[in-house]
Amino acid sequence: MKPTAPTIPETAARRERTDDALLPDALTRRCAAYGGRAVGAALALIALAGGLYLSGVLPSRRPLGRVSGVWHLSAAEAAAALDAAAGPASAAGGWEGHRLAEAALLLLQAPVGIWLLLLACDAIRRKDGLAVGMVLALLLVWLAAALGWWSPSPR
Amino acid sequence: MTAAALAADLVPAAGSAAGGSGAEALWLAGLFAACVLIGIFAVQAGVGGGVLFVPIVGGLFPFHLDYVRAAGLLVALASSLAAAPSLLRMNMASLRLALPASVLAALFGVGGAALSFLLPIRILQAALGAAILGIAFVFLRARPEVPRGAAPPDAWSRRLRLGGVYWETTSRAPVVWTTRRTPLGIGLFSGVGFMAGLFGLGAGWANVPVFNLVMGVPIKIAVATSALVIAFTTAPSLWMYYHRGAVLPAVMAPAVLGMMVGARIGVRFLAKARPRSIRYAVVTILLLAGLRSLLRGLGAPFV
Repeated sequence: MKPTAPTIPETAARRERTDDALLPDALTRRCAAYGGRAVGAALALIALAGGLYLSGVLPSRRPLGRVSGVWHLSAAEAAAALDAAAGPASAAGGWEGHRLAEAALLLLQAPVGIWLLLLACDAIRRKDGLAVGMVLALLLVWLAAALGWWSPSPR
Repeated sequence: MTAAALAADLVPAAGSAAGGSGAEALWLAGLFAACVLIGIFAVQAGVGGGVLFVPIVGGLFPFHLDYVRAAGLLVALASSLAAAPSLLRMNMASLRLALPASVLAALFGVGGAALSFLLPIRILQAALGAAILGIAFVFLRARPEVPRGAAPPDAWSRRLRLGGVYWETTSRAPVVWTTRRTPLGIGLFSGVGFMAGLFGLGAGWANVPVFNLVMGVPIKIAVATSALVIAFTTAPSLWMYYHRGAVLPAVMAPAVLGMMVGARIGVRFLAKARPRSIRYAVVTILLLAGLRSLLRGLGAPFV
């Protein structure tokens, strides 16, 4: 039987279906929106905190002058030397430029956390056990690493 | 030298420059400039940046490999996060595809990062050199596969609902895509994640060939989804470096900001770029940097 040409309403409906499929779904749009804002904020914070720390405006127990003396050493050796040189914890007068810059750098991970939570909520709503399991596994790996559960002793 | 002896040396240095000056400021300005250049090149070569950052900065700057690897992960994370929202909006990056690939990659990435602090630094340096040489070879040999219609999905692809539609601008038509050899592809991400965590390289150089050549995902979807996988994989590994004290803001802040500036400049020149020249330039840089790292690891006296 010879196939008949689609009617105009059929063609329009087909195009609409394709156009809809080309658009990101609601979850992807939410991830894009929240992720974009979080990345922008984190980068601005890195620029601000990094600038305050590197310029020496904020006092720090690990000023650049000292750090540059140990950045050729391994992380463990450098940390021991810097801690020994810094003396008591109150030396920075309450403000810690180094810590603030470090926190800003770590905050760059915020969008990943936001995406994982959005994915988890969506998977639970859809009752997709496999997706829930994968998101939970990723969250668990991330949290365990953040809490230092798997950090080995230094070389 | 003991920590106490080093500390005695460090106190006058801090007194002379509360915020840092002189040589250290020059090094950091140099690092920022180098990262701007790496960012420009990385965008045009279609790589994340970590794979260029670690060998170049590790070879040319006085920083210990611990900080360079941690900064490499952060640079890869920042680059992928900066691109991901736009890629999601364009429906090019697939969260559904990124999720199974990231689970194993993240777990093995953490394992790689943990192992890196147990290995002697010379072995790590030599292994990094060998890995970089291998990556240069992958760059040289791999050719993106152009999809000829959607491959029939395998059982895992159907179960995980991996697939979608995107608008292909060159053919001006929608392209339906799905995945094949899904278990093999997802399994390979464990090795990719391990290397990313071990060397701080990011993983775009390996994610894209696995998605494209092994799983049959169209190259544009592979590149875009790779950004999500890098973000999910590097975030846990970065914590491992943080807990070992390798997150050094003095090195990381100029590196991340330099890469961001470079990437923005690189995007502007993208239309005028000559892909073949850039590809060969990247391969040459990787070969030289990889060889240098390998020789240093092996204890060669002249590098």
